[in-house]
Amino acid sequence: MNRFNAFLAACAVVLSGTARAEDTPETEWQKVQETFAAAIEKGHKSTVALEVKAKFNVPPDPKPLPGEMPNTGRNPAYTKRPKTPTTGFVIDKDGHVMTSFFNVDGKVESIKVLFPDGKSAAGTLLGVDESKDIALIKVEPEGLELKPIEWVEKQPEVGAFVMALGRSPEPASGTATRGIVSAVDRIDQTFNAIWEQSIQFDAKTNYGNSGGPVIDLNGRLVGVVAHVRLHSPWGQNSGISFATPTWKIKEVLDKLKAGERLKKPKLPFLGVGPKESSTLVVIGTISPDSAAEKAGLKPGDVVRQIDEVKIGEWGDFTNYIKKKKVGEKVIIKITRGEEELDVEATLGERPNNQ
Amino acid sequence: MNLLKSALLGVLVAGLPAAADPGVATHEPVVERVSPAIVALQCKSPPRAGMGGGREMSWFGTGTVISEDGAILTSATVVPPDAITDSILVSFAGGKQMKAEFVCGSAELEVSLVRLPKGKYPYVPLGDSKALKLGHVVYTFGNCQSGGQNGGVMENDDQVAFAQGEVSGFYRISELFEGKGWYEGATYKGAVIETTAPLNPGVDGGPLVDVKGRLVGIMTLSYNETRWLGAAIPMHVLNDRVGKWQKGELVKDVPKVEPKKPDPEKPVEDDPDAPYLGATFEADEPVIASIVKNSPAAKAKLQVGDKILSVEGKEMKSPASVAKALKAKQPGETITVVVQRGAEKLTIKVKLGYQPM
Repeated sequence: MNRFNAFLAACAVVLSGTARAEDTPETEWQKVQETFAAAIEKGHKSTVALEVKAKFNVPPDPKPLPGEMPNTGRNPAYTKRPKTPTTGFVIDKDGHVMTSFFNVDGKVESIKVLFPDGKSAAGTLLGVDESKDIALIKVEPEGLELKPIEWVEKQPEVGAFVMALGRSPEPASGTATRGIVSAVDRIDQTFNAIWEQSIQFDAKTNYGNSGGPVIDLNGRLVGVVAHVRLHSPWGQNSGISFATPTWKIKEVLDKLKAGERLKKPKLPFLGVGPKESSTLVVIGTISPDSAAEKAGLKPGDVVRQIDEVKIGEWGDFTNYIKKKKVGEKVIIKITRGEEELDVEATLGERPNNQ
Repeated sequence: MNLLKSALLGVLVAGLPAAADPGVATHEPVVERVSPAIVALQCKSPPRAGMGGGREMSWFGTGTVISEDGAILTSATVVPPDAITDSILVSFAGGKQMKAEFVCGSAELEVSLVRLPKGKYPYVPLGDSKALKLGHVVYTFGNCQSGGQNGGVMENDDQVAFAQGEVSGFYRISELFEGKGWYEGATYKGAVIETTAPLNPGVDGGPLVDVKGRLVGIMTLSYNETRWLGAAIPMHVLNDRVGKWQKGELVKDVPKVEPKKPDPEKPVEDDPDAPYLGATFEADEPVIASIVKNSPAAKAKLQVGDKILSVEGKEMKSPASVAKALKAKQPGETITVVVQRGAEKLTIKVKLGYQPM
């Protein structure tokens, strides 16, 4: 292949007569990069910086998982808030600006929207959807040249090129990172900021990207970048990012315009952890004040059955609990030493950091 | 020419086996063009206060040959401006090693130029860093296995490391820093080109190369806190100074030791030695005339019109006296300022910063 390229280059040099000896043979990337640049330029016309003054809700530091090093990073605040502006984008000429819920999560005092042309306007928060990590802001459109972002008609498939646009740290020039769609319809209520179907992609996103648009090669909106979480089961964030797709936004857009605040559902929580290096389903830890503690479960109890479901491995146990609701009762059949016991537990709420 | 090439492609592709690599989307031509001009550098410098227990310091990293006659551009974090001249060792991919001579360096621009013995060398031609756009394809190259027992000696390191990414941002490091870089020795705080190409310690001093294999920047490890991606000092910032060095005009950084008479007309932050407040004053009174956005003064909620009555308990009568009081402090220190705001007297604590550059 190299020889082929070299041959082409040689042809080009001989035939054109203008190429210089120091020129590197042309690659397809010279054309491809202009496609990237054009899509970014188009998408950036709708991308805005947000300066949000708020008394933010600060999530507790994530609890290290078994075997995981605690976060001893130089600045644990990375898991919380960026210092610079965050990002949003214009969705219509009426002055609706979309961003992530994370960017307005708290008691909002003021929102300043900085447009690409240098103009700025005060924004008011209309509605939020916590499970989708999205929020809608309104600015007075008078005197502004709003350039609404174009939406994709169909969610791109795995492997499609996407780009994440940001307006931070420097709102005037903006940022852009490229990747591909890695997976679609991801649902993860343990580690993700988004609790509903989301797009996983591998463009690098940073704290200032939160709330910015993910676009396709035509500069059209694919989704909204969820806020970055440092926490992952393997300790380090590998660089994958998540976005709420356009079809999920459409589901609630009218509600957000009407000012509704859609909360995250409460997740059920029993409060038990597995005993490591055990082939049976053995309880290793009991969370303080949890349903498990109140029900009298103890470390060392072997779980055999929950309600009518036989438990073969730990996953069976947790999957069953995930399907229940807060306040529901479950009966757990356990073996404690020689005894076989039925324990009744009333499921509680999962704490924020677990 | 494009048409002709397409025609050629058509003819040739038709003649190739069906399973052939389409080839057009490869980065190989650039890797092949640039890699021979990427070198590993190591050198020593005199001891530094508070570092290395008073011993000579060892430095290592990547460098780029930028001219056929063997000029190597690298980072001042690899070959510091006070490098011991005959300590500079250059390693090419494949293991060939040569001594190089120190030409000139700048802490402000965070680059140094060294020169190989007379000869003809493969080099990376200069590109147009101003023409880069977000989304443009760029490459980084490194040639240093860091942390070797002998201060980063490149034993067995016979290949150049290569990474591809895109231009992902343009901004100034100074806008983000509250203090110094993350990497010991990183001193540049000006405009940077951010890239998604992965980079690691040891790639500092390496080139940022455009899609045509031309030099558009020098990698710096002065990461910022908000964006964790690699950053390069654009060549358009460096060209003027480096060009002079290549011609033998050894222009150094402007020394910062000249004592200056505080000029009441000039804003306080113009004095590079003073810790940074980020406010200007009226000509004859210590009354704030303007406040720089995001500066220590802004963060402390000082306001335009505030009259500074005292700094650290000392009475202030003129802008010059404020400048003098600030100069006695260090960046990062918190000072107590009493201001007159309307009828009110307010005591305000201000955490001083570093001068933007």
